[in-house]
Amino acid sequence: MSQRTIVPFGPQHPVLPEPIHLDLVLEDEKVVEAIPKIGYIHRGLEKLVEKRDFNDFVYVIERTCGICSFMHGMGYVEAVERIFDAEIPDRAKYLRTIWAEMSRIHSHLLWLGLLADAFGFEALFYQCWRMREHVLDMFEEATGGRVIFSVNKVGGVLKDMPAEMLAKFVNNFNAMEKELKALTDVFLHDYSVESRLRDVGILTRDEAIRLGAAGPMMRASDIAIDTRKLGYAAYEDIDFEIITSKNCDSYARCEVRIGEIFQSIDIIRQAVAKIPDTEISIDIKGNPNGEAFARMEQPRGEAIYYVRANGTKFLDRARVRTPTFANLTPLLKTLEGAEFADVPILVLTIDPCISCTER
Amino acid sequence: MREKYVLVEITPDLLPLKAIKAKNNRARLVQICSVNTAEGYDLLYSFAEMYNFVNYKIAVKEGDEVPSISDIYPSAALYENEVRELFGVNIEYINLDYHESLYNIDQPTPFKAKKETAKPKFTPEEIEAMKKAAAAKKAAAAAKKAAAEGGNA
Repeated sequence: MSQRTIVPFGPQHPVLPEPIHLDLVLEDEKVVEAIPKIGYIHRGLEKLVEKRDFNDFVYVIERTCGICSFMHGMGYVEAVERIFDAEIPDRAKYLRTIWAEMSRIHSHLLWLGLLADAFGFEALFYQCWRMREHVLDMFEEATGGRVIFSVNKVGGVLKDMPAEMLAKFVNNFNAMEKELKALTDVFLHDYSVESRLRDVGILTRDEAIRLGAAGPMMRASDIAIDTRKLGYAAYEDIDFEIITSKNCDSYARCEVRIGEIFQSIDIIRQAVAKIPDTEISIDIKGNPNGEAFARMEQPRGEAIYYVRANGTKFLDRARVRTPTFANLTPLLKTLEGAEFADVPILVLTIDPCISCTER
Repeated sequence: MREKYVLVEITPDLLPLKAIKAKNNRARLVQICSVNTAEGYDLLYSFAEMYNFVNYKIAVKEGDEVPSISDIYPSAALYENEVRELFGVNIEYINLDYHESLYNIDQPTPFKAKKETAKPKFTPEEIEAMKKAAAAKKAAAAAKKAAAEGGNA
């Protein structure tokens, strides 16, 4: 008869520097149940909205996370703009789209590096993060910031990118694309990598819907939903196909994210080719009154922003539903029946961002 | 293009029925959120069926019981624990119940609206003592001034 033991995973773990704890119930080496525990660094950022001017709150909400900080700011300002029923200039929409896709590329490269590190492929980890640095360099050149660059404002964006800079960035991405192809081929075709990812952590299509999976985690279970198709920012003018996989395993999640890196480069090319020459922001007078939702496709999946305003400069509520929070329940499902040795990889395959979860 | 979504106000007893209907339509539960109001809370339940985004709002008074939908949608458990722990909303029968320990926070229900306390800043005795101190200070200043003027004369 197999022996039952409970093994604590985290909150400090070599694979995941951010604090999340799982109580893993094991039968010999197989996980039969996982019980999560979060909240080690809960910051209560949403509560700050009651004490900060709604314009200044952009700088707070950007600090929800260091990877998708731009998109947190963008989601919040889109929700506030919806309350004002304000239509921002087209150039601002395109600039937001370009920065959002650059954020997706660097986030996915960060994740690929962490995944390589988790299964002990350090050379691959270094290469992924080296490529990611190029994107951060471009952020710095365009905005002055590498991690949090505060370019969103209610009514548009604060900084523009001249045509020469945009052309240079497209050239940079063209050059990166070739290197990325070689790099990602290792993830998709290397025997040792495949052996760690294939048929590990299956999440079927039905389970993904029932458990509320989001983003690449959901698309890797063959569900073609991508919030960018809603047409926010400039996405209604961009032509792209949703990347999905039928495998439903960890390899599929890797495959989807790799596909999305190349897709993002293509979206940036399209956006640069189509960007109109207009103003980058409009003045919005007064205080918001009402409530609104905005949905965004962040690198880790669909994020939902809810704002309720009362006609003063202080909002009643600003809520962020982050993709990692949505993916925690599907993670528990993928852990059931997994080998104990695969747990760190499975936790990584949701691309967890505890900083977002502990907003 | 701006997304069009549905936001409908319903009574709490209709919530499980709406959740079952959403599940039958293969909609995903995408979020549950609480907002403080004068009487208690507004709870917002959001479901996404492909790109259709449907939100149900229920108004709950302080202390009212809210039925959990975690039996219908297992993913609701984390959201419901969060709402109960941060706001103090009384959600009953959550299938994965953390009993107020999902978050490691020192303060209970930190997001709950703080009621304005009627307690005055100072007690009447303190006010009286302050008045006496002010009068004594004033008298001392007047005496000092008078002494200074007498000296000059």
